Amino acid sequence: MSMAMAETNKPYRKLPGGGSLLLSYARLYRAEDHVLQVMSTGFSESYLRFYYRDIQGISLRKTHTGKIVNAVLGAVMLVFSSLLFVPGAEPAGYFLMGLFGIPLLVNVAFGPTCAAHIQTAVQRQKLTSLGRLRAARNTLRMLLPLIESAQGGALTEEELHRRLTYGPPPTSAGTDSHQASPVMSGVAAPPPVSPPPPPE
Amino acid sequence: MMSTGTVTCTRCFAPLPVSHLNRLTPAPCPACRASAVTYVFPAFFKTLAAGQAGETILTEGEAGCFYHPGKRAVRPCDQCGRFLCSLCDLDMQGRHLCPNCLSSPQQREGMPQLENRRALYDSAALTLALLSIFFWPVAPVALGLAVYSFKQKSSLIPRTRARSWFALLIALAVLGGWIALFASIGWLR
Repeated sequence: MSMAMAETNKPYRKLPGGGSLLLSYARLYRAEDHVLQVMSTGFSESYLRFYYRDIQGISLRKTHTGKIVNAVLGAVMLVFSSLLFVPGAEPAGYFLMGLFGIPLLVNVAFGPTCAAHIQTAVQRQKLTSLGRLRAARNTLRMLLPLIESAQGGALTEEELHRRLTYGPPPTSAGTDSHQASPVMSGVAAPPPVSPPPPPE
Repeated sequence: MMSTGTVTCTRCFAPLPVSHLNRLTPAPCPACRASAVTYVFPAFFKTLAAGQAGETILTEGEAGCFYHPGKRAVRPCDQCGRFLCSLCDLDMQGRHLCPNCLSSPQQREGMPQLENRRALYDSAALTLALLSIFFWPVAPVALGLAVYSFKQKSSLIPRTRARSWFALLIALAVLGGWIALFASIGWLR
């Protein structure tokens, strides 16, 4: 299916999650052959595409951001709870406790935070919309079969162990290699040198 | 995680054991103890195909590339007709284009997969229309932008024209209200 046809048939499906930076909001969508990250400022959008065939790895790492926010909100609530013991200040105390208590409850309900990264041969990109571990895991579960299908199947544990330890098996084409991608290792690959044609 | 033959922790870059990979349950990094789920795919072990370097012209009078005069031309650009060496020949969906044509906005129009940015005139119109409720001089701008947004592409993610319509209606309502107010003041005088 061409991209033009795919666009008219609404090829994009939203993936779980949604995160924001200072002035923009991030969302992830999956299409037939790629994942699309949309960063929106409200007046414009910028797009990053990660094609399934190019994705080398995905990492979801738990962070302490959620716990820190919980601690800060809880401490503030505790401070304002002292107003409950001041005669006449109880309403203000309840209001301020609610002001910080509701975000605390919301933060707890959303679950632990994480940092998600997607890696290709030329970049390691943080997926801003996957800031919560629950949404990130659900997204990973949805993407796994698509990526593995585009790359000819999943790596078994034995294959993974062998490739990481010994490198790939020799092939006649010799295209697989455990050596670093030139871009990621920082070493530029020399350009192929074609021999000059024989003189006529 | 670096494609150097080892998979590393995204926090401390220590190598991760194979037993930590390709599992949906998080595993702690041996070095920093950061808990992570790390998946590696077959593309991790593939190297990029080397690009084609242009061949040097050896015979005098041979056609040369427009952008690299010392390199042999292998084909013309399908858009502008300039001769291209193998380095400058960019194959996009069966069309062979030069870098200049590929980067032109007119050429990118027909290739949505090359779009990396879009202006959201409908969202801007709606925002201005809502702002005009509190600051009426913005209403004509919101009205004009709402009308303009109908003719422009919206987000790459397909969506309805609801924002444009709401912006139009709100801007018209605000303008109509202020016109009525000024008219009634003038009538009273």
